[in-house]
Amino acid sequence: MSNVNEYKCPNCGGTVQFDSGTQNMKCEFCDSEFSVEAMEAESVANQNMSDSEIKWNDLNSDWGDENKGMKVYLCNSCGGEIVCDETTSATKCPYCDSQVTMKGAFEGDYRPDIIIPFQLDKKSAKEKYLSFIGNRFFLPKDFKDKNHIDEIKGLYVPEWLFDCDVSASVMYDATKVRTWSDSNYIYTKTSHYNVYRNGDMSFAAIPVDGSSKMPDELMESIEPFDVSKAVDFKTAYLAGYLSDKYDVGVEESLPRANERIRNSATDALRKTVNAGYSSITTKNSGVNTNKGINRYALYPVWILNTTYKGKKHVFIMNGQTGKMAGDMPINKGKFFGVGLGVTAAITTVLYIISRFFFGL
Amino acid sequence: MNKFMKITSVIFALFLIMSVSVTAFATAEDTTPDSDGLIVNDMADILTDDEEIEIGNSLYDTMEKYGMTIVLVTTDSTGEKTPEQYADDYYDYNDYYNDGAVLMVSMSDRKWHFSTKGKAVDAFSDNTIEYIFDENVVEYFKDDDWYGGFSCYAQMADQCLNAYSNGEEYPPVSAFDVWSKRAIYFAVCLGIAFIITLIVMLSVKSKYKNVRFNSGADDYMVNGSFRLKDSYDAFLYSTVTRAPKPKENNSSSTHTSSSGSTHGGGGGSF
Repeated sequence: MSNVNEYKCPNCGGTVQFDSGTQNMKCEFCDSEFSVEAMEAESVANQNMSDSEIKWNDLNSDWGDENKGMKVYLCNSCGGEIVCDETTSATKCPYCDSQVTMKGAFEGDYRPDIIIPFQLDKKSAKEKYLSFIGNRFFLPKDFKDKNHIDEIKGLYVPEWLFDCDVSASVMYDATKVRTWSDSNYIYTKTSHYNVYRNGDMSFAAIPVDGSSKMPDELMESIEPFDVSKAVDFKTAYLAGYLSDKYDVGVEESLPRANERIRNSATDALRKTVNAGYSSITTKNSGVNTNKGINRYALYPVWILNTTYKGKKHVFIMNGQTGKMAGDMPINKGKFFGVGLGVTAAITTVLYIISRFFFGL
Repeated sequence: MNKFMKITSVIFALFLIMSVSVTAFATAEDTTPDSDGLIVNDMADILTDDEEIEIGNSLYDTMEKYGMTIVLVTTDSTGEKTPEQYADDYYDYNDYYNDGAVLMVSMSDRKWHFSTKGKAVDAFSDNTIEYIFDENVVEYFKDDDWYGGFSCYAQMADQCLNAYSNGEEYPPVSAFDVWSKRAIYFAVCLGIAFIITLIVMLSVKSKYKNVRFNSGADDYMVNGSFRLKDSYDAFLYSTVTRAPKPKENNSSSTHTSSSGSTHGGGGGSF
């Protein structure tokens, strides 16, 4: 069995990729379209008919530590060797530019349960990016003028999805403050209350980034993904995109999910405390989860790398909703200039008002 | 000024002629010493006659200029009354103008009280009283320099009423005070402006740097799944604290005397 999956057009033999516009597989040469299911079936049938079994060669022992975590695959199209790291599950053959998927990456434990197919293509990612940076005042002029995107990559990011029922209880220390005065003194009466809240709620598909290469805050910045649009995983969806398999396990991801659950649960309870209190502080809280299940999913993102004055700026777009996130450079001179101007203006106004009121 | 004039000024004939009718509670009136029409009523006999005449002349001039009777009474004791009640009643139950003030000095318990009435309440603000008495007049009293203290009182009361009639502050604010106050105001304005700017600019900056962790998982809470099972708000205890009211600049605190009229002023020991 081949370790590298490449989808060949049954019509012309060209490379077939997943097309986000039609949600079908499309041949880039003859424009033929095939359903994902048909392509999967075709691929399986082809493999069964092929005699040759190409095993991936583990060259670890020969390369020592230098290539630890690296794998070498053979391309199905041209037979070229593809060197990539252990977690890469889809990439391009450097020799023939064919889209390939590492089959082994999704065998056994590694097979994702669901996948959200790309809804937006490379072109709309570029358009979104340009409107995102837009005509921003503090953006250095040459960043936009000279800006050429180094690369745009469509990537499936491994995510752990956590579902659970939550039972939370919180004890708040709340106070009500009343003040009054007579001719000589100001009196302050502070009343203390114990405020208790206990409630149930359910969470579905809280995502935690399962890839160590992808910064977690980048993935969280482009949330939410609509998991109701997810479909059962089929390798064919990966054609035409890069894909990683997870290298951060469920156990390691769970604390992040718990932290978010805890914050949301205590927030929801906090909203039920009426606004009549002067201060509300959490004394102690308990959050219990049960019926917790987790799923392994692949989420689509577009990654745009840009370089400005030698510094890399990474922008990321939700491949499903188009939500964009990224850190833009700021024209510091302009930024501090405006800050100084605003400070001066407010100071002047305040000073004139104070002169008027206190008659200095 | 001849001797005759001086004596007429000390003997407060004016008030006898005006004969303002005073309706009051008999008890308070009974225990209040009669001024005999004097501006300076030295019942404790701590001033010489010449000193009395000199201070009396000065206070008489003040009265003529500003239409307020600024008077002086010394006593051995305030009796059953507090210094404040004694001073208020002394002014209320003697035939003085409706606008004016009295400085009362009680020798046995070494207390003083300055009581103001009518326009004098505004003219002598709490700040002004603190300046005239606590910082100046009482310093003389502590050294048993009665004449020095009362001269100072007469002089400063005149200056104060002069400033009041011109709409100025007393004690006069020095140019240095004005500028240092302005500098403080400016610094405070600058500080507030800086904080406002900082908040605004940081919120602008956050629009350029929008990569950050989410705090919660609100997006993933199943719609309608939240159910409040149990809740209570239990009162535990309450505490009451009190703090002295901050004194406002140029304000005069007032109270009501036994005759029902409004008085300002202040007092203390020496």
